[in-house]
Formats: sequence, structure tokens, C-alpha cells
Amino acid sequence: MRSARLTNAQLNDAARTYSGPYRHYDIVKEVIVCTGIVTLLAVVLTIVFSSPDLPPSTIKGWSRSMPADFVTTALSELDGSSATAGYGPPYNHNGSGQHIAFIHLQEWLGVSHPVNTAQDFVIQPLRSVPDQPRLQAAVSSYLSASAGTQAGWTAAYTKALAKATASGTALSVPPGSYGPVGTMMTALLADAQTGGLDGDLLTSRQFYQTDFTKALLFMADGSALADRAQAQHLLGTQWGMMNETGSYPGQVWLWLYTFWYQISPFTTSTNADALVAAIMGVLSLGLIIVPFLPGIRDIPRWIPIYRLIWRDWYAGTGGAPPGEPDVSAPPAPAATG
Amino acid sequence: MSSWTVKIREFGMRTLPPEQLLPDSQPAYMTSAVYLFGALTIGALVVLLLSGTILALKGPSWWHVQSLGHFFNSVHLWAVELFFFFMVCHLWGKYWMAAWRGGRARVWMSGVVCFLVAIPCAFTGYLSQQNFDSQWIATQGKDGLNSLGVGAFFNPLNFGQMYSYHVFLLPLAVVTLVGGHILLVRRHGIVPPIPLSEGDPARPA
Amino acid sequence: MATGAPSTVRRQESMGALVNLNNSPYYVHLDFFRMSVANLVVIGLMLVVFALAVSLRAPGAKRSRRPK
Repeated sequence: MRSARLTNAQLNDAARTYSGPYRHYDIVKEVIVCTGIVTLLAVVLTIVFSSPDLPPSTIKGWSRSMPADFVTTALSELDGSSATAGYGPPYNHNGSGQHIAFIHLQEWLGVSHPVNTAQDFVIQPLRSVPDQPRLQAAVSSYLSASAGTQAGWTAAYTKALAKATASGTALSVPPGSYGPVGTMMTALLADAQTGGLDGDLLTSRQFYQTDFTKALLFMADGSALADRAQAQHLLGTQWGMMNETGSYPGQVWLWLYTFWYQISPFTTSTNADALVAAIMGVLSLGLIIVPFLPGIRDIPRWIPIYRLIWRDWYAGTGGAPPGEPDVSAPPAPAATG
Repeated sequence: MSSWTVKIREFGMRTLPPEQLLPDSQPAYMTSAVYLFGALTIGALVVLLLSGTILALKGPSWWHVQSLGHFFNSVHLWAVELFFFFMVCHLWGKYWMAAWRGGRARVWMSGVVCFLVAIPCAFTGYLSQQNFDSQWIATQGKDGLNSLGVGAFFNPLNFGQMYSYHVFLLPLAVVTLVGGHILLVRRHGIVPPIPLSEGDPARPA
Repeated sequence: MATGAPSTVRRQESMGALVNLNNSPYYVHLDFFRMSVANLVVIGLMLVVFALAVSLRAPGAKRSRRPK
């Protein structure tokens, strides 16, 4: 291609100023007409497709429809085996979080939203249940036991839970040597099924509430959200980052971000989030500096779509010949950046 | 004594005289429809700001309980889809025209930054919906943000914080950046065609 | 499947959408590639619209009168 012979500097110089003919143009009209077109498109799409609004999950709904899953999750919060319990920063110090090589940003920025899953998700909600001396005695008994004894009780209850049977919203757990844990879990399930736990887990102690960190972390440790998400193809392994519920188009612009999660080594890496973020950061920076990247900035000359875009111009019919401009040219733009 | 006011005015008049800011003529090579994507993106941004303002006026719960609210939520959602649709087409167009030539690198770079900042703006919008989408996106998105330490000061599980970002901070950033991008376009002018051969000025003889 | 959600889908039907998109999504799934039909339609439309824009003239940008 002939233009390939031009150096990048020559191309830049040729594009610096323009002294050819101009045509009439109404910039305000163009923007207003385009806004009108987009308004019309958005209203038509609204009338034809509306927008999705799947109701939120609640701990009440979750504990009523999946009592075994709820209690299993609550037990994992109590014995410290849940994802949140071992998350690390910014919720607790029970893990170091992800890192990129020697850069441990997650650890370095520290615990800003402290969450103690046993205390916050189980003990404190149970302490707030009124008029149940037997339950309070069970909680006290659990708290005053040694760590080894507590672990023995929760392990025994985990075993019993595996044989539990659910009937409607009720859960019957076979007897075992799980000490006060059975009483605690039964009470927590009852509290959750009446909606009490939804309120207990709101983070702020004030009247007005806007922070749902604890309730969402608790729900995310169970299957309440994940089962619905899987049915809607929203899981990370389902390219879910770019998907919307139902058959609506989603965040198509995240296709590359979610793509990395589908391939090795990110499918198995415990640092996948940090690594993918780093890759996307580098690629985003690359997109910003395309004008300075040899090769990338030359592709438009090698694949000459520009010949189509400016075909009138190249055919010599793009404007009046020099000396006979359609309109007087404005001051030449100073393209010297 | 020189006046700061006069200096700023003269700087403005020098760098972007009114007839260049709001031109009534354009270079004759601009005949392709590919030049419309920029204005269509601005149009989508206007629809976003207007529908978002209506939703903000009534508060975050309104659209769940009233049909009119759901209508404006739908307009807002589709305007988001159209915004990204036209913005990406605009980006493709500018790429294939190598529109950064002739000292216009800052125009390209500011445009890409607009795109990159629009993404968290949309993300916080999904988190502000107060529905299952928000719950799922918050609990998933937190891991990516936390892995970079961003979670220390930006908590997607905090609805109040996400709502503030979505209705004020990020739209302000997007509008400011898009405004700056447009001023840079007006300052530097639309890039002339790629010359077909050496010695060929950017204009047929 | 049991979920933590109320069993009824709210209001969408009453919103008067002409086409109901609140159904189970359709997906194109090949090996690790999995994309919703809706997203593919959007991407396809972007390519079509871009190709059209490259091939068409902007309204008002009439071919000028004569080649030199």
C-alpha cells in the first residue's frame, strides 16, 4: 500500500493543519437531532422490552425455602469455616487476600469493614432474642467452653446436619453430642424465618440504614444468591459479569474482563481476581496510549477502512476545488498538541 | 496590574475562539456517517442524565412500586446500552481513521478515559437498583475490588455509598471528562484523511 | 430449584412490555465460550451499524457537484 511508505512523523505533519475547503455545518442541530434519535430509540426499546427487576433475596426467604442450607451456612460462620470467616482484608485478619507477585494491596490496605462472623452473624443476633433464658444459657455455655470443646460441638452438629431432613420450613436434626449448638442453631433459624435476622445484620446501630455489608456477606456464604444466579447465567464461570437477568442484554462492554475468568490459569488461581484486574489495567493503559504504540497505531493504515470513510475525498469530489470554497473557512485549528 | 480574569478570558479566546467552539462549517472530507457516533454518544448521555435525574428526584425505591418509575428506569437502562453502543462505535471509527495523528493524541486519550470512567459509573448503577441484580453484582464485584485493596475505601455492599457514587460523583466525572474531550476536539479540529502516498498532501490535486 | 426468592415474578407482566424478556435466557455455548443470545445480538448490531456508517454518507453530506 502506498501510504505505508510514509513515516509516522510525515503522517503527523500532514494531519497537523488543514487548509482545504469547508462545507456548511450546524453543530448544535447535529447534537440536538442525535439526542432526539437516541430518546426515540430508548423510548421504543422501553415500550417493547421494559427492564428487568428480579426481587432481592432476603434471609427470611432463604431460611424458609432452604432451612438446611441456612443452618449449614450459619454453622460455618460460627466455626469459622465460611468464605467470609477466612476472607482476610478488608473484613478480618483470617487470610492475607490476593496479591500480584510481591504486591499485596489487599493486605496492605487493611481491615476497614471488620466482620467477626461468629459474633456478628450468630452470637449477637441470638443475644438480641428476648425472653428465652434457655437460649441465653446455651449461648453462655458455648462462649465459656474451650476452643477445643466448641470445635467438637460444631463438628458433631455438622455431622448431624448431613442427616437432617427438611419438611417445608421446618428442619429436624438427629440428636448428637453437639452441646448447646443445637439450641443455638434452632433459635437462629427461627429468628431468621421471622425476618428478625435481616434486621439484626444491618451494619449500623443507627435508625437509618444504608449499609448491607453483613447481611450480603452472610447470604453470599450460602446458596441463596448463587442458585438464583446460576439459573440466570450470572456466575463468574458463565461469563456472568457481562450478563443481565432474563434475556436482556447485559454489560457487553465487560466481555474482555469476564473472558479471562474462563481460561487457564485464571480458572484455578486463587489470585484470579487480582491477576485479571492487573491484566485489564495494563490493557486499558495500552488503549489510552495507542497513539504511541508502534504496530498498533499502524494497523489502520494496513487495513484501509479509511479509504471507504474518505472515499469521496479521495475521489476528488469531497468538496469544491481550492479557491472556490463552499463557505469561508474558520480560523485553522491549531492542531499542535 | 494584570487581572487574573482578563488573563483567563484571553487564554480562552486564544485557545478556543467562539467560531471554533461552535463552528458553522466543517472540513469537506467529513461526509461519512461514521462521524455521527460522537454526537449520538452525547445524545445518549443527555438521555441518561435526564432519565437519571427523574429517578433521583423520586428516590431509589420509586421504580419498584410505580409503573411510571419503571418506565423511566427502563429508559435509563436502554440509554446505558445505547451510550456504550455508540461510544464503542465512535471509538472504532476513530481508531480506523487513526484520529490521533497531527498532535491529537490527547483527544484520543481523553476519549478512552471517558470510556474507562463510564464503566464504574454503570457498575454503581447496577448496584443502586436494590434488586437481585444488585445483590449478586455487589457480592461478586467485591472480590475484584478487594483483591486490589480498593475495597478498603469503596464498598460495593454499602448501598448508600454506591448510590452517592452513582447519582453524583461518577456522573460528574463522566460529564466533566466528556466536556473536556469535546473541547479538545474543537481545539484541535477533526483529523484530515490519511494521505494516499508520499508527497500527496492531505487533499487530492 | 428452591431459591431464597419469592416465587412470583413481580410486575414485569403488568409493565406492558410488548416482548417479555424475563424468561430463561438462551445461550450460545462452545467449549469455554458462553454468551447470551441477547449480548450476541448487541455485538452483531454494533458491527452492522458500524459497517453501515462506514458505507453511508451522513445526512446532508451530499456528494458535491463535480470532480475537478
